[in-house]
Amino acid sequence: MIALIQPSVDPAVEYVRQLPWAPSILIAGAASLGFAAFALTRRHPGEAGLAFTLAGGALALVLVELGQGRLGFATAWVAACVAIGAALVAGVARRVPGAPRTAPGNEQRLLALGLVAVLAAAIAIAALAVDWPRRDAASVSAAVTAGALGAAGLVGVLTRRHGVSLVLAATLSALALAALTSTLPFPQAGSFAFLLLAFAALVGAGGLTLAAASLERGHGPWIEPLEEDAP
Amino acid sequence: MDPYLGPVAGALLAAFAAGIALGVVRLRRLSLEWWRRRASRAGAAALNSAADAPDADGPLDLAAAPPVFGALALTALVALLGVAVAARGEFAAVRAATPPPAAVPALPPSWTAFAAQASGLVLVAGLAFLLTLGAALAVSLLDRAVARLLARFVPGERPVAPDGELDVPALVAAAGREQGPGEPFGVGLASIVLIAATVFAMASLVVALGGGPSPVPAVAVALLVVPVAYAAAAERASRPEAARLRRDAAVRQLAVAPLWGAGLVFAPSALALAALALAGALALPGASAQPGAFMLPWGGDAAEPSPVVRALSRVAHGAWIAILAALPFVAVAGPVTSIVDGVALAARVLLALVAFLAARAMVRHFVLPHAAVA
Repeated sequence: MIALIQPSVDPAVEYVRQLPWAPSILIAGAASLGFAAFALTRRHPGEAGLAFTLAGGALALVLVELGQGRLGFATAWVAACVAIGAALVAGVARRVPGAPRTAPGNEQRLLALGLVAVLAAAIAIAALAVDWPRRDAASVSAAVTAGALGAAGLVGVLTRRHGVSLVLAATLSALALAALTSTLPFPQAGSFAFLLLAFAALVGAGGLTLAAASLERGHGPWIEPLEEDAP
Repeated sequence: MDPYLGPVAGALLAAFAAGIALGVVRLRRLSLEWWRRRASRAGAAALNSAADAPDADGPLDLAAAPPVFGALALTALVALLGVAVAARGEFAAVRAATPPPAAVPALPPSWTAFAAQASGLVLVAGLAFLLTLGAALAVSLLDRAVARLLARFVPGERPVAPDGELDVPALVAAAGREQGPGEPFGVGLASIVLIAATVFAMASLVVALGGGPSPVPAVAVALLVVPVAYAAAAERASRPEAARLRRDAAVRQLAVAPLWGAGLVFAPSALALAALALAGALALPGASAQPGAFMLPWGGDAAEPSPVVRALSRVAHGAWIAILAALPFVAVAGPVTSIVDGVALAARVLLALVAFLAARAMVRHFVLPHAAVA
């Protein structure tokens, strides 16, 4: 009787296992996700900016492997520009006498992770239910990478308490959205991806301008430490 | 990604070497004492002359720092310019109805193919790393020779650029020198990223010479990483004076990004060459010893107290001069198929390098004479 019992594989797991995967894209995507996680958890915006640039570079490699070289280099370019702006804005805190040089940390990580996990699972199930006209290994792997980066950016947005890293997280989500768009099997997807990339650059510049204005006026948790950060 | 695996491997190798030199990467299980003893013997004399940086800790007006909103506007402009240039190429490709490059069918995995690919990666990475160091040393030697030649014909001028010297004993001595308290982790990370971006750009040139894709976009992105590193180092600097100098350098490098971006777009026209030459003077790694967003660097971070950081910035400075001099020729020439082609290309690059250094020396001695005594 026992011998008749066969271990069953969940159909969903089997479905995902049978999808085509490109290991090179997944490795570059994992590197990008690692750099992004480092960037979004650093409390020094300068180091966060460096890691954000590296995350953009690794995402560029993903897009190059996808055959979207122009979009890839433009992505790395935008990430570097936003990182420069973030580091320069962070320097404003130096002008405020007595301001803490370390940005406040994040909060409610578990809640944010749980929320984003539920959201990501819902989107992934919906995406897997669609019978896409093109489903090659590179597109699937790049889409998964972009989705993971977008989720990381969303976690960063939900857990930030100061402007500069909030902007980095929002820009990461926008860059991931551009990369995700480029994997769609439509002829206009490339054009939309560039528009989203321009949107990401504007999000970064606009957000950093607001952060700089609040820092210069002495507002925000960076200048005024929250109660739990105060000695 | 295949054509960029070599540059990525070169950047990782450079980052590892720079991390060891800076002390960010610690090889606790390996004794490097023999290397340190050898370095201290070989480069003691050179170190003594290079160790004491000019004192830049004088009073600086921090309130006169570059306005942040202007810098942000510049950042947005540069970002949108990059997107527009890339999108223009994309739309042009769509209009021309050129199909995307077909994927190369993957060969069945075999140990022979893996070994061939791995050895190719190691070769490109090692070659790019050595070329970067060699280019920096060659530029330093040429700079010194040009300055001496100029001093021979123009009496009373200073023969050698004081902050542009770079030689092997100084590099070895800097790598073996004790660091002391040092700077924060972020400053070391910025130096590592700076040198890795330099080797990445050099490796892109190597790959292009071997038949790879055009090096222009990779070099452009790597050059934009230079202000990222300086801005991050400014943010993490422990001394306000160092922060000011690094921030000035980042703003200067960012401000000329549209100029060299246009040069890269229109290469290899005469306008592009002029833009690249100007960029070579203005966008190079290096922070001046004096505050000011447009104080030109003549050879790395002159006011940096750490000898290793100073040496790394000088290597990056010299190597970027060589990269910018070689880029138009490599982009036009394409893959090198014979030794004659390679020698002709090297001669052209050398000529461009000497012309650029001579023009820079003339500017330094005649147009900006106060900079010669920095």
